[in-house]
Amino acid sequence: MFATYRTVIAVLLLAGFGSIASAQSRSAVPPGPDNFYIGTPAGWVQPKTPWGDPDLQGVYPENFVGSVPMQRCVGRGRGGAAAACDAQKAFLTEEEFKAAQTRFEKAPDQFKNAEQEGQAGREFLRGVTDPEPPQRQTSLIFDPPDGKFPEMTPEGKKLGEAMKSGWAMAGEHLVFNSYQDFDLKDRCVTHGMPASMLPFHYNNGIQILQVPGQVIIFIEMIHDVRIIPVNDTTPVPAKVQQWLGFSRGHWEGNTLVVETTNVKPGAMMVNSAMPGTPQIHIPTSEKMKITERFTRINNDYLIYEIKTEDPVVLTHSWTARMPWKNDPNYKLLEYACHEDNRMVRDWINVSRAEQEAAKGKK
Amino acid sequence: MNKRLVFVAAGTGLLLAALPIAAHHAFAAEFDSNKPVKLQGTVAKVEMVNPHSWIYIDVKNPDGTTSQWMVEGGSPNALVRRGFTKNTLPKGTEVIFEGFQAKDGAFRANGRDITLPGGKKLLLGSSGNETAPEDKDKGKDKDTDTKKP
Amino acid sequence: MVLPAIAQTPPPRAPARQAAAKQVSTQGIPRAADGKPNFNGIWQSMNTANWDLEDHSAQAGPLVAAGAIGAEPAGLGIIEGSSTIPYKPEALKKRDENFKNRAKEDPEFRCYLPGVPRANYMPYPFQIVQSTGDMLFTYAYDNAARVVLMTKHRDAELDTWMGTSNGRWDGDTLVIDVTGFNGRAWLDRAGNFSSDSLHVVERYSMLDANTINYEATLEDSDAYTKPWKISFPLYRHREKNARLLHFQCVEFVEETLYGDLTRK
Repeated sequence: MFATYRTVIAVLLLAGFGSIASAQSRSAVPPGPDNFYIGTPAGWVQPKTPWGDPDLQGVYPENFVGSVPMQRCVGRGRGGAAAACDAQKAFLTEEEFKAAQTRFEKAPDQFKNAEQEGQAGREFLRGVTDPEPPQRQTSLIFDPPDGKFPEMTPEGKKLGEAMKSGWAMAGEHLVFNSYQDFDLKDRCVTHGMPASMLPFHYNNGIQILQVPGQVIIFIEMIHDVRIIPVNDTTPVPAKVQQWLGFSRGHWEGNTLVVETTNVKPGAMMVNSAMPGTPQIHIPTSEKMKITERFTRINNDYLIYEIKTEDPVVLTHSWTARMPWKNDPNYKLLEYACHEDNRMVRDWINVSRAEQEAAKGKK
Repeated sequence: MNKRLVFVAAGTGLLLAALPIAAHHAFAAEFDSNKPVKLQGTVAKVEMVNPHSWIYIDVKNPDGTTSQWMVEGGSPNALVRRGFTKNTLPKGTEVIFEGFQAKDGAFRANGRDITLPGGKKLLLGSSGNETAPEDKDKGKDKDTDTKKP
Repeated sequence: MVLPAIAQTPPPRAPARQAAAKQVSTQGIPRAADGKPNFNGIWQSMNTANWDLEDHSAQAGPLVAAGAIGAEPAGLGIIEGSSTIPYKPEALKKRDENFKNRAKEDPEFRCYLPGVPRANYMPYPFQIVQSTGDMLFTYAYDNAARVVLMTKHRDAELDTWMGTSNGRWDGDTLVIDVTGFNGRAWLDRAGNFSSDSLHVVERYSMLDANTINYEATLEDSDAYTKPWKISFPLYRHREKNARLLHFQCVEFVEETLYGDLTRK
């Protein structure tokens, strides 16, 4: 009798917990502009790590968004955007996006075709890259609202003009006389911040790992690692700078918010070699502050947002947003760079030969 | 990071004339589009390294001496993700290479094409250098790269 | 990378999170949620192996101009059961040649990736990131890093500096099998080396909450007559706010590597 009574109570309590649990799971979030048209299914619950933090872990190769121009309506986007462009249009229509997807799927997989035709050697020489599917957003930048990079300050422009790089702007003929005529990417030092977190032409792998009290981001490009203490109030040492700065994280609900300062100046702020990027070199200053937000919206996708403020260099902040897709089959491979970097020596020798030849002609 | 736009080389005219939407690693900084080379030789070794892989080819000169050329390829990481293994070009494979020579006259070249003698096509990958069925020339200058500027 | 399942157990209270991580079980070592030893933390060796894996006297370093800062202290080797590496005769000659040229040829001098096991006994700390799936070892020196595949093993697709690491548990011991080396890293500053046939099996076991016993067996039929083993403790960094800082050193070697090319 007693046992049955206890069992009944137990069953009622469990039923109670069960209903509390289901009240915690959500109704579906439909696809829309706020979630890049990627919905959250009904009943989806944010996974947690064993120690109770929202679980953001996964492998998020950024070639997923590599086809998206950084700025809206600048030059021609991949897949050939029309010359007339609406700077207020942040997303393609459903029809336009479907058409872009169809074009992408129908486009010859050059590498596969090359293999089948026995021409893989050609593709090997050209440099195969990871696939970049079309996305519905028209730019990575969402703020300023016209999707354009903010104007630089006079100081920013001055510093930018002094920056050297092996990546030539339109019409530039570059001369190399020293390793300092190359940028930090060319020299295999770093892509810096925020550029390391933005898509590049290749080797875009990003892996998020979590341990109690920290989030760790492993970046395939030149094997960079960001260690982000979470809820750590230890002051960041004012005098110490690192290429990727010092980061501090905290949770806002299920969103990880990361603030980064103390980035050592020297790297380009953005990857100038990517489509839709400003055609000027952009420096960073000691006053730069970067704020990132990572939010998982279902088992496969994260929304990633990165805001950069640098009052010395920029007249306004800029914010990029994009979906990241977890690809557990993407292999992050060692990207040893400096060890076999021939560029500095070879390009200086060639430049020298060119300069000598030019002298001879005079 | 250190990628020069090799795809600017092939079908060069087309791409350079396009709107410059991004900075480019200046192919022209290192290689001379006025110095095309066609080399026939044997593979001495393949270095599957970053930022660029390199194929070393021993080329017999008309005077009987041998020169070793190095031909630049892309980063091996994406190749591996597409299914390549490290046994790409076995040592001793006879190849014909077409490309452009470095401006300083070094035996270094940026590649357009690499094939086997006799018009056979080269297949790189774990299946080794077995030739694919011969086919009509599809036009080596065809530049159908729709993904890159 | 497998997404972990939703936690079955109630999460620890937030302030206790850090404490839970360091909670010492009855066996005296911290354990992760899955019951495995918890290697999370910042670790460093305390020996002279990076100078020379074998027994060595104090001597001038490769750069005499660096004075005592660049000189080599005496040290006992870390090789189990022997004071020397069992080189094949040709390999021994190569080692001695390496030693002669070490000022220029030591990959550490050029800020090249250190390889395994050298990364673990460089005079700089490293952090073991032990999460719910794969592990990551992130080293201060040159920002070297290696993913240790715990859930989905794979063979090395390419030869690399740090190799490809496949890890598994053997009771409370973490066993990491490393293959796919490019044969270009050195084992120390004395020119000791291996070929691209190197195969390393590492074993990590906690002696106590703050000490790991590290062992590595090296086999390489091109360089050595037989497999040989090194072992030493790894010590936990216990400073109050210990954190791993990056020692990216490429920019500090450029003048030496490229300075000859510079023209005003």
